[in-house]
Amino acid sequence: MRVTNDNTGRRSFLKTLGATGAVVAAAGAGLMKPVKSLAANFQYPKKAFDAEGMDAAMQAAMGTSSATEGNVSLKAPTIAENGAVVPITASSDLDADKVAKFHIFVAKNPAPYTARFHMVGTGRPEVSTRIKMGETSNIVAVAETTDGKFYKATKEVRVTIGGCGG
Amino acid sequence: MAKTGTARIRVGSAQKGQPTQVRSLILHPMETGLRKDPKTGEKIPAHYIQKVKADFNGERVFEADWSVAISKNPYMSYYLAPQSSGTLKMTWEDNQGGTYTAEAEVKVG
Repeated sequence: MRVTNDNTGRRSFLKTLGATGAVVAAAGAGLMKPVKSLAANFQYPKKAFDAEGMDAAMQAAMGTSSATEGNVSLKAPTIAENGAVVPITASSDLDADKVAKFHIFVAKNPAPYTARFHMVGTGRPEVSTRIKMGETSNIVAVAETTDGKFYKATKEVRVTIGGCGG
Repeated sequence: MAKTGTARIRVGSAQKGQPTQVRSLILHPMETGLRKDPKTGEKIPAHYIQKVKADFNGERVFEADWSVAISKNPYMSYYLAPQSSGTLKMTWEDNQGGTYTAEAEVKVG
């Protein structure tokens, strides 16, 4: 916005008002896109990532520790030789625009909550990454729907060499 | 030598409105803060990526929050359903203030 110091009379006030009006009109006409992308800046869930124990971690991450079995699939190796690098894929057979988030937990890690993925506009509810596991444990993938339902899939991965040591 | 923050994005061939896979990789130690230096016995400070953001033509399409349990040199894949050709920009932010970006051109055929 333009700011003038020398002429703060009625004329410049009207000018400024006019300019503001134009901006508002432009926004109204859809010339300026609403900044949806900024609204999607999700807060980093530090507390949930620090929570110890499965129930506490799920509660901190999702506000509930219960989720319904089904609608989600979790791909992970049955045996991981190296716990430092365990590839996982979480996906859902629900419609892409129904799945808001995926949450990943490793039950026996010191802090089970591992990652959260926001499916803002991906077109397919599927995400893959590689995670660390300290010991043999269940991995739980939870899909959170846009209407606040939670679905989960669980898979046990046997770890022969832990991934958290030096 | 490989440098922390070096990142790469690969996008599969894209059809208008159809989901195509995006694969990303970034070089990063992902230190948990629990490990000790085997030589000195001192704790290595935590240094890990916390946030990953993906914007297609300036609009957010995907975002991730990571704990220390994501593996070193993190890999992540997800999908994108582009309506038009454009630029996919990814940003990785770590707990020590490091910010790294990479871009990929997406051509809708």
